[in-house]
Amino acid sequence: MYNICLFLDLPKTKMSLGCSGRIRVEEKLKRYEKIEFLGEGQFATVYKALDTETQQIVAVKKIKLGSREEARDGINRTALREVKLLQEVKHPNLIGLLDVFGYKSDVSLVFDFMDTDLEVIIKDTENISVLTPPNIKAYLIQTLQGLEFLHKHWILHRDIKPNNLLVNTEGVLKVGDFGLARFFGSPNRPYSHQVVTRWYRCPELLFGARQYGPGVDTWAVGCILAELLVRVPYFPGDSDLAQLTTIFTALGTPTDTSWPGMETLPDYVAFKPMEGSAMKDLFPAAPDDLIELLEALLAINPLHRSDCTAALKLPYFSNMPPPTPGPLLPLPACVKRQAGGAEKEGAAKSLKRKIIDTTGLGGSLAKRLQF
Amino acid sequence: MSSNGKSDHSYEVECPACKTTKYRNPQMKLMVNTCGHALCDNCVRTLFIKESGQCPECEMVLKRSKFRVQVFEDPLVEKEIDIRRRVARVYNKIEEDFETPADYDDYLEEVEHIVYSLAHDINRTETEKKLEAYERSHKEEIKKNYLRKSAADEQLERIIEEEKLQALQREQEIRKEMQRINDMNKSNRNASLLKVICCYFVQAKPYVYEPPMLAPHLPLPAWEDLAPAGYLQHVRQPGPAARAGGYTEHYACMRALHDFMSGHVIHDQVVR
Repeated sequence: MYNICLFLDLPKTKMSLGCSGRIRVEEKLKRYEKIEFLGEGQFATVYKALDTETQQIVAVKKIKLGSREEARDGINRTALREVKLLQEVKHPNLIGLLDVFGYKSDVSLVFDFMDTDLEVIIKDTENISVLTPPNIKAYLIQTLQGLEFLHKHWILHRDIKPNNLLVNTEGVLKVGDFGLARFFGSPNRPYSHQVVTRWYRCPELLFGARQYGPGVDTWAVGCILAELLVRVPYFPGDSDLAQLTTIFTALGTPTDTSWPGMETLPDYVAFKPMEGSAMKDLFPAAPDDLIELLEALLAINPLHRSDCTAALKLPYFSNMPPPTPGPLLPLPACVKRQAGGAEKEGAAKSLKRKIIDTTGLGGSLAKRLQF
Repeated sequence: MSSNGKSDHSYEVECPACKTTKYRNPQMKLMVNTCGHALCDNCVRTLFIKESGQCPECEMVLKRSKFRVQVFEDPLVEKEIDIRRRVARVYNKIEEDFETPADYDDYLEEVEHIVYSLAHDINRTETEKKLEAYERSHKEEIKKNYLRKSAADEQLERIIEEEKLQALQREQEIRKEMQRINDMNKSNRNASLLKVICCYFVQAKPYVYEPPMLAPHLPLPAWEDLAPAGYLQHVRQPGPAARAGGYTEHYACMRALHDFMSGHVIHDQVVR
């Protein structure tokens, strides 16, 4: 494994995972004052807490010990992944891992507190009746900037979905939940294809690709863009095959010329050739520059798909109208901007995270955890 | 009775027939009839068992159904009201019916004279005859005037009705407006939306792409140059499946270079 830390200007982190004695841990426990319980998943419990040193509101994610089998290897694998990757990257559009501390066999991760997420915003059609083109542009720029930074550091997020794009009251969007993220670019490591929530999963993953690139994340961004436009999931398939059918019905079945080598993919299934529709017909109300972006992100052949940098350089982003400044972005009903930060109830959903065994042991499907 | 100075005259009201006072029977009500003499409701009930009878004071023949609760303390006033009503039914001209105001004044004078005479029993029979004679001789005119009056009343009623309706509509409109204002205050959505739009036009700036801050800057070949410069020859070529999955040897090559450089470069200076 390459030592990735060395090429970053970050100090090799102040956070020591193995705590250096009990006194320090007790200090840490005192430092974060629990405010409220936010949610519980299979592997972690999340609390909203006050950092008494900085007077900042934070989210503390306490990793559960897990089964004996897992505990034997030490800390939970997904937590380790999150700690390992998030220590490396600091970007305004990536969730910040502020601190890590252990107590007995528990490990707690301290994150930026985020009030809501894009899923809540998209679903709150009652309160946010319209997501204006500038709003959509603002969300997309922030998402792509976060991902671009991540990809530049050789990290694939592998679980981009509205639920994991966290938004705070300042209108800052941060990519969260690095439970599935991992380094990429090693030539001889097969990766699991059972990543990314199905609706946002790209065709190559659905065909079982074991080697892939950042395209898996940009496809998901394309799906989210379409979802922002129509306010419902754009490719909602209820099985992997149905997912492919949905995609190909809309965009057309790829051919050997448009996607060479696709039949060599492990789970390749021949689909009935379908014409599909032009992006312009799928989104009749979208302007031409937006169509261009949709086509760039939702290219079926991953080699034709734009990476984040190329996407951000498309005229759509620099064209009028300019993106909405963060503080003017809409907030769902459950989050009040002025309320003095006292009653932000949407928080319960904000740090929903999903921790899934992705190492191909059982090949378990990514599924949404309900808190 | 009024030791505390709160003398209440209503207690001293007395029925002229049975001498009962309000003090003894607080429920007592004085009734009057056309003659203007009062009787308590008990006396009316006992003296007028039959439909008609005589007034105990003036022996005038009265009908029981004509008795009504005395509103004014002075029974004479009550009597006069009755008379006035009766006279007005006959003398029902209005100002427009006369050529000059003086004529109208004379007419009113005559009406007042008749009312006064009847109320105070001055030349009673004579006045009655005069009234009857007038009624007979002016029969047509009275009828016409009566109809005109009822028409005017109807007109008036219509106007009142209309005004009521308009008032109701206005009230509804006001209530609706209030509701609207309340709603707006409650959600404050329209106002805040407007504010957001205004702020947007002031604050929003067009997006300009800026490459992410990657530190430190490493002397790396460009992505496009990897193949021409021969870097790719040193990396294992991916199979068709990997290529179809979006993986190219560029990634492995670039990452290896990246890792190598970051291990040897500190703040733009190559470690020699």
